[in-house]
Amino acid sequence: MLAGRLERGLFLAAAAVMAYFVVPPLLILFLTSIEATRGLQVTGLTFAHYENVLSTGGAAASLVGNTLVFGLGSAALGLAAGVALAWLVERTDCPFKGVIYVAAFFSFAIPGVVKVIGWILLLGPRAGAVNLALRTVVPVETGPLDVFSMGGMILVESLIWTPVVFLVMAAPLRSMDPSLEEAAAMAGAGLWGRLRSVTLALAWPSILSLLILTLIRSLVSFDVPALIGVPADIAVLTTRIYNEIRTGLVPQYGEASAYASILTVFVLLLLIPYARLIRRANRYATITGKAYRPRLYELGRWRGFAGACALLFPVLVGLPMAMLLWASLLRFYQPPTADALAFLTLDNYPAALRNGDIVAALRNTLVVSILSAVAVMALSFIAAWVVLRSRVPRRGLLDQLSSLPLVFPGVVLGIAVLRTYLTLPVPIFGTVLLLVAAYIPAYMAYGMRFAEAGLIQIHRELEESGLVHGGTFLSVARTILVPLMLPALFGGFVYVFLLSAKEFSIAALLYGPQSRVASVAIWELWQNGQISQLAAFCLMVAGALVALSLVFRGLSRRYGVAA
Amino acid sequence: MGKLLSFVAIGALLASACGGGGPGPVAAPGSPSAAPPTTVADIALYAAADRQKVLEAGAKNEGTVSLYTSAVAPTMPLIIEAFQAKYPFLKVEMYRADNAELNQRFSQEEQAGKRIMDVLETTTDGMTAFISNKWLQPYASPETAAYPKDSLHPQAIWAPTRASYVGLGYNTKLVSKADAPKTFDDLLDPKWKAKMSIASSATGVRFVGNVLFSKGEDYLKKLGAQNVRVQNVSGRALADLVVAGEIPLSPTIFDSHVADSKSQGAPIEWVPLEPAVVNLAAAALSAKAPHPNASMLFIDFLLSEQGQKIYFDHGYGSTRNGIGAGAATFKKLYLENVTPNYEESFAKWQALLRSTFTAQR
Repeated sequence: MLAGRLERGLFLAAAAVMAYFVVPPLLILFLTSIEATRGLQVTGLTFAHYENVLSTGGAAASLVGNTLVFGLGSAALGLAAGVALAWLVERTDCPFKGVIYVAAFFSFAIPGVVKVIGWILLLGPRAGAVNLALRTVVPVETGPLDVFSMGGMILVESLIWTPVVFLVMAAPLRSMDPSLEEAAAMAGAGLWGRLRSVTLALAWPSILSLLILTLIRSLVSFDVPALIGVPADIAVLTTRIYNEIRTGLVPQYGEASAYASILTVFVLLLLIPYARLIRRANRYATITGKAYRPRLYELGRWRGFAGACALLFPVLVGLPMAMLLWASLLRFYQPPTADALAFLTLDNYPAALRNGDIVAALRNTLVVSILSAVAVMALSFIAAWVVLRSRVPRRGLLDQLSSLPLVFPGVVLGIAVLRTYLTLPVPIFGTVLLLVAAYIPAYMAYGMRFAEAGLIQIHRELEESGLVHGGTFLSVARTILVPLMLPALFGGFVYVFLLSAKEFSIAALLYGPQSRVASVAIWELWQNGQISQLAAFCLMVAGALVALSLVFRGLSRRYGVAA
Repeated sequence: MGKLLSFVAIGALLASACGGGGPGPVAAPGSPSAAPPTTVADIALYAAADRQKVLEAGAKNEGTVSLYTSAVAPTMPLIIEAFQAKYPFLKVEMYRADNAELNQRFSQEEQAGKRIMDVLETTTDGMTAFISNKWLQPYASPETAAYPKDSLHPQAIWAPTRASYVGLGYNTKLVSKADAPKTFDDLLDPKWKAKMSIASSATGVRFVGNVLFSKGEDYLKKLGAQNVRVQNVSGRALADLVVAGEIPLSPTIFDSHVADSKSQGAPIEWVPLEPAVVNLAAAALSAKAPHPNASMLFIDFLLSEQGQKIYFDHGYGSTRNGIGAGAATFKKLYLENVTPNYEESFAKWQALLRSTFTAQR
């Protein structure tokens, strides 16, 4: 009876907090999607935005086709690569594990638009470094590779998702009981059979939830379609909807909001099979009261090959960053040739630091990102427990509430939060808390993926025995759940921490004179700094953030189990 | 004397033209007023001989100015530093953002009835909607006497703080100086086919507006047949892609970016395809400014010779008489001044940019 009250209490608390962060921006999103505007005036209500979105989608079959190829392609590639990587790193004796983690952290810490510049410098058809090298042997005038293509779009976008999938999947795979795989092996299953019937089957809920996340985010993705797709003349729904209908001097977000509102229905539909799966969450638990020793699969003679495959990820993440590093060392950008060595300089680094009060900005960045990450993971931990453990009716509401903000384009969420706190009598305007209030809903869905993936592997018998022995929820959480889930909770923490630190489209709208963050300086350099200074500044900030993340990681390993 | 006269004339003109600005008469020029002005409108239009003294006294009580600006670092921080050195009792609180964020932020605050912003310093075309909503207060600054009349807003809502020019940027390693296009017509040469890119931002939209105004729709169609790529990167990044050689030439490049890169030795050159579009930024005062006295002192400073020199030294053009004389002698186009219904036209150009330069696949 007490347990029932506790479950209900936690459910209501988590639902209330989530609703507080999610519902106002969602209402504003829906409102924006039905408001007719002229200039800055709301002139009435209309369904025209929805009609525009639907007719845009209906007008050209190729548009929907491009969108699906890009969205499904990026999601599938990112998911497959991320799961494979997590398996290699956590379940086998494959080499280069440390490099892969550092590469993943770096890829979270560098803003997407800056990475795209790295890719253009690498694979641009005229002056891309790889193309210049290839052209010494291939006799073509431009190319042979062209980042401005559907292939380029999918490559760059899927590399945004690979490290997320890797990090979410790493935790459940790491502590998976190897006796199950061994049993399958003894039953005569080959490597693939073992993977399919044991490893992947056990990880299936996490994979499905990641698929929902990557698919929705690829469908609302704007940076890559805008920066690579538009020059390639490949339109997808987002670029068409945002660019085409964002007309006039005052940007109008009616159509973008209508598109996002339509996608909320997809999110809710996609969550139905997931909810059904996790209703029998215990089937996927591998950490039980039974003692086991996590043992790595020995790749034997495949070790070198597997290592080479795994190294592909840090190489693909590292190459555009290497171009940025090269750019940061030059007085002005030029392709890497022997002649260019004459222009090497370190001046860009101190020059980039002269951009405003960087110490205050970095301090604000740390406050904002640590607060956001802690808040998101604490909330996700409690919500995941309610969803997976309790028997409260409608507990799936927490998954729905946390997943809905996935549909928001960043700018629209920023505007919605701006409107919310100009209206609500909550005095956080002009403080760093306004940014936190935007990042909590923005990253809640990611936090939930990490927390649920971590919790689903832990059999409930562990906490039940803790409760039977007189523990409270808090003591069980502190002594059993959190230590066992620490790899997952830490993964989510680092992810939200790095994403909040680099985010700038929301930050540029919400910061104030007292709450400037470092990413606003990145954004200013993007607007008006040479690539060399932009690259220098981004690499410095990313380097500091990644170093800090590794310190956090060390601390979590000292505290957690199997972390 | 001439300066004083025109200042007085503007003040008088405004006093008669802007009855809607607020109650209370403007003190007769030259005679000290009995009581200091109190409303935003009165302070903004105050033109008596003791103006400076009155503003300083009012500003001392206010203590701060809240500035929203799209001028990028390091220019504005340096101007603020100089301003605060002149008025040590004032502190400028700056929110710096791109036009889109800036305008979004101000309009959301206005619609929520919040009084936060004092001074808006951004491009003039973005102010159009604010002006029609009466969110900006006409003002009289003695500094405007030093500006050509046609560079000032006819109702004195803004005065220009900085100008930049858009023209052709090309990579000198890929395009020789002799070969480089010098006019719009030169862009149609078949040898530039598939080598040009234009910006998708407001800069590209205004380029289309310029082409329509200067060359007509037929020319735009021919340019579209040149396989021009539309780039979504920032204006600065576009210039860097020209430097990198990824884009041989682009007609939507800012002169200031090229000057900056050239000073580092980069292989890039800038040509004004006449007429060159002028992107004008200006200073305006919020009709509900919480610190109107300090605001007027700050606006005066932005427009002053000292303020304008800081802008000019950081690559911006100035329209103030005597600053940067001899610079930017090419033919210029103040697009929003020659375009009736600028907002509607802008939306039309936006659509044309897409239909002309993307295949609409």
